[in-house]
Amino acid sequence: MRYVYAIRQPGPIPAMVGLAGAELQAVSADGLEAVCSVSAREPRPEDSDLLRHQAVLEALMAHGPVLPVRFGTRLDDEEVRARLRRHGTALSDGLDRVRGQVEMGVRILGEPPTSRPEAGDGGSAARGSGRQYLMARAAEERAERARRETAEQLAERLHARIAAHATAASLRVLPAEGTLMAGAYLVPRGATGEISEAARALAAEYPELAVVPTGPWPPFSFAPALDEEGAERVS
Amino acid sequence: MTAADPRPEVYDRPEAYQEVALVELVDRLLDKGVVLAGDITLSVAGIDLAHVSLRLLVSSTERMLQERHE
Repeated sequence: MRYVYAIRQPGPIPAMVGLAGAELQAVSADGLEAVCSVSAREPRPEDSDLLRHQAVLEALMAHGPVLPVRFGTRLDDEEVRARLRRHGTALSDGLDRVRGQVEMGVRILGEPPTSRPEAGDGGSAARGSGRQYLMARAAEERAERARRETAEQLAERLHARIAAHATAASLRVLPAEGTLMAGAYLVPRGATGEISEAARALAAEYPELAVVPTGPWPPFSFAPALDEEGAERVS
Repeated sequence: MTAADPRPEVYDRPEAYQEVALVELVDRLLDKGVVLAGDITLSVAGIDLAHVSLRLLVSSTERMLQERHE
């Protein structure tokens, strides 16, 4: 059983170990290579395994374009080769897309100021009539939708300001409580400073928000989605 | 909020920034990247992974915002 870190065109294997101290190895097919290590146990989504997976990706990125594989992927050699063959075109195209580029993240914390329904209204209404309860609930839902729409409009504006500096970009609005947006931006290696600068400019304009750039990351958010139909037919 | 708001804490405290960076890392590793295997089964003492990662995202962010408003 192999633990898989990334897919790339064949290249030098970094002098380091992977998860659980296992040696890094390449499993190849059709001009593509999956960087793997022997996997004796289930990977654990804890700091040590997560950070080790990331460390392998960073080392690989020094040698050329890399498509990071989702954490936790364990397959045997034949399955790895079959998937490389099956998805060769999508994977090669994916590598071309990210060649010479890195991913930057910008996470924006906080919320745009909106009026919220006052606490306690719902409670006392609920003890009244069923109709009052339903009206209170409907008002809450309208307020929640309005809050979401305001957040989405703001997030999209902020995202567009940053995305202007990127080759490609993706956005998630309100991905978690207290987080307005999480954006991912594909940029040429030398241009990461433009993203930080754009983030700094937004931070200055919106002091109530925390605008936090991170990266450079391997291109997780710009990896190809593989058509899984074929996987069923792999024997 | 007061008139003289301090800068959001994440700008000034490395630990707060590290929390965001960890959330960004975990989010990418667990939810993005190439999906080679149809099923990725991960467990943390039997707890559903999706709930673990969501808790990590929520608690890290909440903690950071709480600290900011203290």
